[in-house]
Amino acid sequence: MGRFLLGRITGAGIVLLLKSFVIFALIGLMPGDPLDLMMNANPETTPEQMAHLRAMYGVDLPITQRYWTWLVAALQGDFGYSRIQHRPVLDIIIPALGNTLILTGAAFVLSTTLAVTLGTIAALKRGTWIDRIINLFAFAGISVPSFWLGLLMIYLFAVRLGWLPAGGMPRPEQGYGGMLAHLAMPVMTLVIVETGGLARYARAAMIEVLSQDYIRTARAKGLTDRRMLVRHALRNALIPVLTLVALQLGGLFSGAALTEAMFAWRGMGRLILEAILGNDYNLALVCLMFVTATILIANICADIAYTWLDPRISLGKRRR
Amino acid sequence: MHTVYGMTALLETTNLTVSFGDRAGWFRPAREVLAVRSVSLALQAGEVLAVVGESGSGKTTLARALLGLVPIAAGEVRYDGCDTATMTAPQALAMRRSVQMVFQDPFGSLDPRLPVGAIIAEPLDIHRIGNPASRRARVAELMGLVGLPADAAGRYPHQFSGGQRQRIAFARALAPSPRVIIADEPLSALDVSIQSQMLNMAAELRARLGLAYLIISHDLAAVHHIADRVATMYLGRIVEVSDVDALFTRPAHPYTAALLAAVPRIGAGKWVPGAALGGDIPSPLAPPTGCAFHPRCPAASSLCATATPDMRAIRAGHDVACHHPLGTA
Amino acid sequence: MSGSWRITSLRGGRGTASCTDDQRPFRVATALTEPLLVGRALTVDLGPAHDRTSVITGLDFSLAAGRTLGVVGESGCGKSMTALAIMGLAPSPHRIGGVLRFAGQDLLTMPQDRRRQLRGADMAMIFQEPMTALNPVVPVGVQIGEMLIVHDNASETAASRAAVALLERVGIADPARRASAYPHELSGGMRQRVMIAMAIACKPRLLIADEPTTALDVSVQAQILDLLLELQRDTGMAMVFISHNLGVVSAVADDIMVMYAGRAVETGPAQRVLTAPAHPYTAGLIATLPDIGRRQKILPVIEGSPVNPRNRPPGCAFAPRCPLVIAECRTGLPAMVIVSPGQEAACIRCTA
Repeated sequence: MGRFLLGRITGAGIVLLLKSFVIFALIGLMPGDPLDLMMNANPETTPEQMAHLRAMYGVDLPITQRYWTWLVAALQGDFGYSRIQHRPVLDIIIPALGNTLILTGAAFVLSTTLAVTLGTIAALKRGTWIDRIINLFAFAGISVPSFWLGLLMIYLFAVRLGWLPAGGMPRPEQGYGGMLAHLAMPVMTLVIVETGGLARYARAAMIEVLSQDYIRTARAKGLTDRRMLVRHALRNALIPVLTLVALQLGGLFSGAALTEAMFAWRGMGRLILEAILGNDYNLALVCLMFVTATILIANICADIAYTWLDPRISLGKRRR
Repeated sequence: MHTVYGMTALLETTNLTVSFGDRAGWFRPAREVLAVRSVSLALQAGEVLAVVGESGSGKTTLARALLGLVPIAAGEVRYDGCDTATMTAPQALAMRRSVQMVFQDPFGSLDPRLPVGAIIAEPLDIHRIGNPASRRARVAELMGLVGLPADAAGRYPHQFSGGQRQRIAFARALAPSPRVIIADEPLSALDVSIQSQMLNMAAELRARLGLAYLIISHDLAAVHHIADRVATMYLGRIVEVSDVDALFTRPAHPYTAALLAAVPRIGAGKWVPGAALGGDIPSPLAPPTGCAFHPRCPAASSLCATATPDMRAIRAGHDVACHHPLGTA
Repeated sequence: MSGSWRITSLRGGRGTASCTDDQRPFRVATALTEPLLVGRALTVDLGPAHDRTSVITGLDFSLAAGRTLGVVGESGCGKSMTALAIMGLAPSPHRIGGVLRFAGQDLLTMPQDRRRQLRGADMAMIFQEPMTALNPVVPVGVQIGEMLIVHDNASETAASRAAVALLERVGIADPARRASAYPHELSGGMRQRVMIAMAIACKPRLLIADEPTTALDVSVQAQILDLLLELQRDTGMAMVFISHNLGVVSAVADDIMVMYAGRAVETGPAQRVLTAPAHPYTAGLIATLPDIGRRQKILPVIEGSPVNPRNRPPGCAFAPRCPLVIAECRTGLPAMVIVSPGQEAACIRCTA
């Protein structure tokens, strides 16, 4: 287990390193650089001044050399400054990352619980009207675009009914109540969109498990339906579901970007969007690195969860 | 014992060893499991040789090694006198045509998307034997040989019963006119009434085509019916080889005797508890010292725990690897 | 090498002290007047009402405490479905007709929850493939102890203690350590022992064993047969032993029921049926078996393959494969007739 973790963390580090270079290079390939922007802002800059500035900022160096300089600084905890906000990027990213984790974390826990519950009920009541209604709900969730759903909710709950704020962040003095009110609509949007596919998958996994021999054994043992379900079926059904859940974690981050923008939620998605639109290269780069790191960590957690769910999987050991 | 009867064996192994293992890790040495240990066995042309033993005895790995499906760690496999390791390409091709395999599961071993005619013709296509017209004729001939109806060629495997699927697998194996058929538990997935049909078919094909069979089986009664010679395997080693009648009437290795005693027979009356061979086959990761069978052997002595017995002949055509063979004391 | 360790009957055996009735709330009372398990004209139809197929028709059987009924037949003959019907586990939707009584109680009219409480406690079942029949993600000790938690209201600690004792009872070495093992960490033989430990946990009066040794090696099969017979001798439980292997059935059964296409074609005392079969199918099954010590050049065969009860021919279902078939076989369904004391067969030639 320890060896496995070591390997996975090393692997994650390599992925991060590669990704940072790719992003760095892509940004470098983009037409224009920060100094072009500066020049556009001040048309009176002379070519001599430009050359001087380029040399001063190191923009005229080859890309590998610039990457190396950035990497050495980054490894020492210096991620540089944001061009627009004139603050260290870390100071901007940390609160945004916290906000995103609150939003996606709440949406993730809710959608997973809901999906597994609905999937299980649908599997147990297969072919009945309950199954059909759950299916309908799932398909509706899969096919509805999140921006449309978000707008619909803003219109309904904020404009028409006035129950919830249309967007933005809660002020500190509003406490937990304010947090919940501001979270409600973005979380609901994410949950509705994410639950459908997962519920269909959980249903299929549960149907598969219910047809297994050990469920027949559980029934032959005279267990109550409840005990059979909780003790024998659920854990086995969760094993394949976990794979999809781990994949969805990544999707949840990118899906959240749109939702964050829509509800003016000060999270990573919105920050990345602003950074790219505002040509704030350094901020965009570091934001993307943090998102990648979060996804990698989530995947390592999923792998650990596998071993907990399924004793047949032993990490780091090759099976016979 | 490589050349019994003073002639070259059709398929033969000398000290064949197959090992499975994983590479060394950062903090762990490489582990090695010897699935087949120093097996010397010869199959003569036209002969039926059966390999029996419990699951985990290495009999399936032995069959796979003969077909070149698993790498050989030590020793050699010879076909028609040629070492497979140093064979020329044409020799290897000839061997692949001449040694065919029939698997246990007639449901899993046939491609469900191919019609039966195409399944049977596949080896002909692969080895580029004949032209399309002659292949069709050959398929029809093969289906006749194994007793499949003539209209079967256009149908798909799922439209056939287990017994008929095993006939299809047999026809496919016979397509490139092999000299040896290696069959891994060919009967165990079939119904009782179908097993006897298959046994008769196999015997008839052998007589008609001069085939040699190497049969991997745990069904001792079927083995007794069809085999000329039987080899008993335990934890990767051959512990006894003999012609079938001697082995079944006078088993010399206590393991063979225990296997035979464990077969319940019709009319023998009700079973009396207490006579079964105890324990399980040990893990090949940690094989016992000396004779691998000694922890379960009723006749084990202190010698058995330390010295691995060598194979020796106790009578003509009957070899056993045991310090205290039965019926000789 | 054989003979010396086999006797012909095991009835009676040792005392049944370990089979005491305890405070289990729904322990059924024994009716002295009838055998433990009785089936009369039992039919099982599967599928929804508009698309029913009959998989078992007109099955009669009875089984007394301490005795073993061997059920023999090829794939699809309905032998496993018979077991599932007795346990109340036939796949839904289904319709079960006829009479099915256990310890004087009507199983077919019993409330579902009462039926569930019987399962595991008074009638238990073991299956062919112990690898798939055990839950892969639950330690075996927990799977065994669960029986006592559900049926005897045992505490978790009492259940896990009992599980270790049961593992020891079924001959597993180092039971305390094995109790925390998962199924994949055990050998095939040990897994079947775990299944048996689970089945006998509540001292059932009926054990149904569906091909319990088919997936095992002959040596392990012998160990499992040993264990089952020993347990039966000690507890006096009745057994329904299902197998396609006539040798195995011969070794354990007192009585035999041979099934073909969802019907019983021959029943009677095991040794009688196996040595003097009256139905051509039974005779064919026995003759086609290769036997150690009886080597034949060509084996007798039953032509064709087993018929599915779903497309059973009119008349005798075995007629298309029967070497002794006459015209009447294809029209009238032969009735069970007595051919010798206790032995019955459903063949028109026995009637004539």
